[in-house]
Amino acid sequence: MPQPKGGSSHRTVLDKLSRFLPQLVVAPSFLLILFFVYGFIIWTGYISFTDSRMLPAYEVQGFRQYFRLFAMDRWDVAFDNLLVFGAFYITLSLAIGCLLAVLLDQRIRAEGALRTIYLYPMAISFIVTGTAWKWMLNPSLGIESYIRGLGWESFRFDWIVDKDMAIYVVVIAAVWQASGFVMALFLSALRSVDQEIVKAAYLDGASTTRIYLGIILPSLRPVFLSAFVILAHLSIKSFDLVVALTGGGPGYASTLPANFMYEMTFRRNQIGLGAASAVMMLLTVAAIMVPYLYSELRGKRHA
Amino acid sequence: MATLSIENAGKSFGDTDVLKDISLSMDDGEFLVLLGASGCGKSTLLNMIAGLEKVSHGTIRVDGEVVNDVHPKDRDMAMVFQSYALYPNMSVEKNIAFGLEMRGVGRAERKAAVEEVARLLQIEHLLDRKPAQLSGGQRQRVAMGRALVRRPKIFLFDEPLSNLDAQLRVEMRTEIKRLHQTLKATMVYVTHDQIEAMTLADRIAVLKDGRIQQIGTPSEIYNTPANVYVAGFVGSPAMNFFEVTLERDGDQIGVMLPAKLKGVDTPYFLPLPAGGQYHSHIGQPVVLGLRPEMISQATTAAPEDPVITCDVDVVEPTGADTLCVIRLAGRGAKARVSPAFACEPGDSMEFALDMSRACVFDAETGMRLYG
Repeated sequence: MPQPKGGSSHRTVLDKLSRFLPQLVVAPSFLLILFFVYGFIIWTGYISFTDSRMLPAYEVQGFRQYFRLFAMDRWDVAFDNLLVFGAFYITLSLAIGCLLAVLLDQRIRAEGALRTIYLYPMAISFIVTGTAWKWMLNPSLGIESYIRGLGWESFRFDWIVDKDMAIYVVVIAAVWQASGFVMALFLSALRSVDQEIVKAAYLDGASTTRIYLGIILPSLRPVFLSAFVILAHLSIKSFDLVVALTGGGPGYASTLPANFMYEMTFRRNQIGLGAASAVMMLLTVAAIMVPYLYSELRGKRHA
Repeated sequence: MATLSIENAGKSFGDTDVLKDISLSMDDGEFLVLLGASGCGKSTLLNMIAGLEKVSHGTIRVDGEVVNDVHPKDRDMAMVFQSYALYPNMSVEKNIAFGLEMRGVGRAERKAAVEEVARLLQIEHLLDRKPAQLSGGQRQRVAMGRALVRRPKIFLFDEPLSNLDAQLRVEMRTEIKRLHQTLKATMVYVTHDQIEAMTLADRIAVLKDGRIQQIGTPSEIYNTPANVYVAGFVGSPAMNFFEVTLERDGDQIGVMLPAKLKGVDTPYFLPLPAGGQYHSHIGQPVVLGLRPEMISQATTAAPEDPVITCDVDVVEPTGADTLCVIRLAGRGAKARVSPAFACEPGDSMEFALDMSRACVFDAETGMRLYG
């Protein structure tokens, strides 16, 4: 069909435009992420090799900041805290969330209301959680003084001011916040389990406990993995909960690497040292994420 | 090996009665099919037999003993589910052996039992695989293996073939029938597919709205359906129904059936061979049921069959037979003729009606009258 010349050239422009439209739409956010996330990761990495203090300096000094970092007791405490916090936070959240989900899965009444109640902590910011738990755990205001008021004069629950136990206080508050979320993840997965499998196992003579432990929970492996990855990176970047709950104290007994990084970079004019600690955190996250992504991508290619 | 009897069993969820007054009994080694449309309560009945649903009223007996309150695992029944319900995290071997393991059977004995069943079902090469790595038909076999390995008293099947494609379904149907012949076990099989029911069953129980409509052998169900529902549900294409009146013509009792010829309704008197028994119903409205194969080409019919001539609106060849859509008593009816005799759509042809096999139902209750 013959077409007017202007019209056809107009059409080719539109055709070209529509062909590149997806790229055009994605380009701005791609560029912004490239610059602000990956650009600054590279910049931080570079700074960690310099002798930057209050202001960034660009003269490369080698691994000096890393040697300083590893020599600091404060960093040792922060990293040990991360290991303790991460281990307890992840296992307890998984265990409690999973247990709650299994209990809620018994087709009980008021399930919707209970689910909302358990899920709600996730909607609260860490600062609020931290402040509320700080009041509750404060020996002279919270639980300890309440129980003593009831007559148990020798009752002690002062972990928040005990330098060996303070990190466990952070664990308690964080688990309180996250286990509801883990529960929601598991509950939706439990709901998608084929009820006929449960019936079949029942007829095969398995007890309810055995059905859950032997059949249902193992089939939720992907959910365990997702929950683990989410909790793991949450625990590594934990910062505000410590700020609100213990302020990193007593002393620096309950600091986490993120708090360490903030302290060095923004309050003590040790940008280079802060950058080195940030790089260490990035490597920790990568150590968890890379195998996960690798297994995910590989699994997809095989499927 | 066991007998099963159900007496006046019912099931209610709150105020809704899902099953009402179900009574049936099965001999040792019988294959019973529970047939019905979805929502008729057939799966609920099966679950009640298995013990997965509580019995609200009545009793269920296995070998004469009431099992109403016996735990499912102690009833010694095995069930094959529609979704196969294989344990996704276990290998095929573990899946099959799970029931034995739960019953404390030793490792060596389990292995021998699994191998025997695997050989029977030809799945020996699959024992190390996970269910996700199997095709639908293979999963079906594993699900059956899991039931077989325990040598239960009664096998229960809950629509086991409905997730398979048509060809595989026919194959597995034969397989199940062969298994039943080999094992001579008591089996209860739930399905909505009337062909499956006809081909597999020793007896069929047709359910509708939580009630058993009829229990009988496949040929009883097909040839002497108890009511309009059973007559219409079993058979494909479905039976043709005509609302007519019983009349007397001389010493013959029959029905008046108008057939459309050249656009005009032409009435034919069709005598019923065993007409005498309808004596007391003369003048009453009835429903005449004729299966498509009872309306066939006049050329090859028995000489005593009445012949009608009518227009053919639509012609549907199915290969072995050709279906002709004609208009009788004001509604479309299907006739099954041999392809050699089928006419063109729009033409008219002669059909013979096999009135000796016709069913007559009460117009009000839908129940079959006599015969």
